[in-house]
Amino acid sequence: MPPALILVGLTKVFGKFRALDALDLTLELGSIHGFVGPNGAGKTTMLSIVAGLKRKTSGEITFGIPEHQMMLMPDTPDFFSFLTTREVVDLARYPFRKNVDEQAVARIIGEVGLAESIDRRVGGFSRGMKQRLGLATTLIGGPQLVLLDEPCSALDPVGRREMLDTISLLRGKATVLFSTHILSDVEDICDSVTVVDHGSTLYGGSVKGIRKFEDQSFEDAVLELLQPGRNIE
Amino acid sequence: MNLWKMELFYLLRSWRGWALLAAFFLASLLSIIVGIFIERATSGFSYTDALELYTTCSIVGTLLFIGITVSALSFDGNRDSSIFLRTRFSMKQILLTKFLVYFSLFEILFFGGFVATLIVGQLLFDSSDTISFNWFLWGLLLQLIAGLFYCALMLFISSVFRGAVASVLLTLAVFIGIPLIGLTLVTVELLMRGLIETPPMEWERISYVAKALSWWPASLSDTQAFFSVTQSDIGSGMVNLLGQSFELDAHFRRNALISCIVSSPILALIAWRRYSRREI
Repeated sequence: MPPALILVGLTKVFGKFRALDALDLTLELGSIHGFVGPNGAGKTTMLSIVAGLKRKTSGEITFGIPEHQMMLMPDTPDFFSFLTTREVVDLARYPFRKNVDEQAVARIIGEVGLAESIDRRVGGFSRGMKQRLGLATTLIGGPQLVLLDEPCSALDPVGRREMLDTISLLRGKATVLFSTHILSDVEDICDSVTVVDHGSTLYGGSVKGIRKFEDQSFEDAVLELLQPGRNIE
Repeated sequence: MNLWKMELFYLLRSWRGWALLAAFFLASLLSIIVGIFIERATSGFSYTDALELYTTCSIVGTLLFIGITVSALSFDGNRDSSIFLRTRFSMKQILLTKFLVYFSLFEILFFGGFVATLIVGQLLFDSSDTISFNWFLWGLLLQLIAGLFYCALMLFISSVFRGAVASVLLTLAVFIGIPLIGLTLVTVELLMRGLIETPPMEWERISYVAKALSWWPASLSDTQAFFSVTQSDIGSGMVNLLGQSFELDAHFRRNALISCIVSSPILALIAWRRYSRREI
């Protein structure tokens, strides 16, 4: 099966600043792929370019799925405060209304844990509730490629666990590109990982393959990539 | 739920829609109340005078409408809700929906107030000098074309800035500022040429600045004067607009009509391109 997404030499320059510098990434179909790196590494920029919200400066993007079957969940999803949870998800369903029936709206709201707030206006929602709603609006159309930008950043431990479980359930049904700072989350649910810094790929491959020796933890392996020599002393 | 409903909820579940409705309702109410006082004082107030008064009073509603529409068009000001829209709907769908919703809304509110004033005015005031339906229809057509230009210009200005505040301020500056600056320049020009004693209805014939301003598309809305043309106006060949008399001519504001028809699609097209190319 061809990969769901291939990025080759993806570059984005803002004035003199290179946000992405020849970034490479391959996403296997049906896999969950972690995308990690420090603040300003270019994670959000890359996701925005793939989602078509920003233009690349150079490089190649190849999709193995139809482009309209892709959906992005931003890191701080925000919605129209005058709509209820049900209306927001129903609006997100609208472009896919031929394939997704109306009953799916209530079902997915229940799956992300917002059943009690289904008819409440989203204006008063906390960031965590907005992230849950963001996941519901992202998944309602049944996308084949799901781009998640730090989906757990505002969630409490229980919410984070539920979010990770929901993402795990997508394995095999959709391809997930999951950007995060929380390395244990990647280790928990991802099949493969890309580590980036300063817009360049430092590592791309399986989660287990990043370890240099068997006893090394995933976190140490990633930190060693980001800060070479930190264990030398 | 679709984009149409979303726009209507945006208006009806907040102060915006109700404030707009109130502005046009109050314009109608004010024109009737003022009419009653004038009628009692002079016994010379007709229902067409009430309609002219309504047209003047509705300027407040028009300015409010401009502010609300421009802020609705500045949806990229909130990056995250903009992502929600842009990743699900095409720019053509988003802009066309907003364009049609706000255009229709303005026309419905304006003419709703107009019809209410017409009906109440006919009951309360002198209605012996009836308005001409043909002139009304001609005025209606020109008003719709002017409305399209207003929407296209608002769309264009909203595409220049990401935030709502800058867009609203610039739009109001353009709509209010150009006629004000124009009027000042015309006065200065006439003063410099020693022609200031010329009656205002002649200014467009003798002032170079006024001739240039006649191409300003928004001045097509001056043809609102055609809504209340009476049989006696047709007889005298003159019509009133904001207290000034003009020659009753079907080609009144012809230059503005031409520039409206030419500039509206160009502005809308540039706006669509700018929105489409904007990075979020």
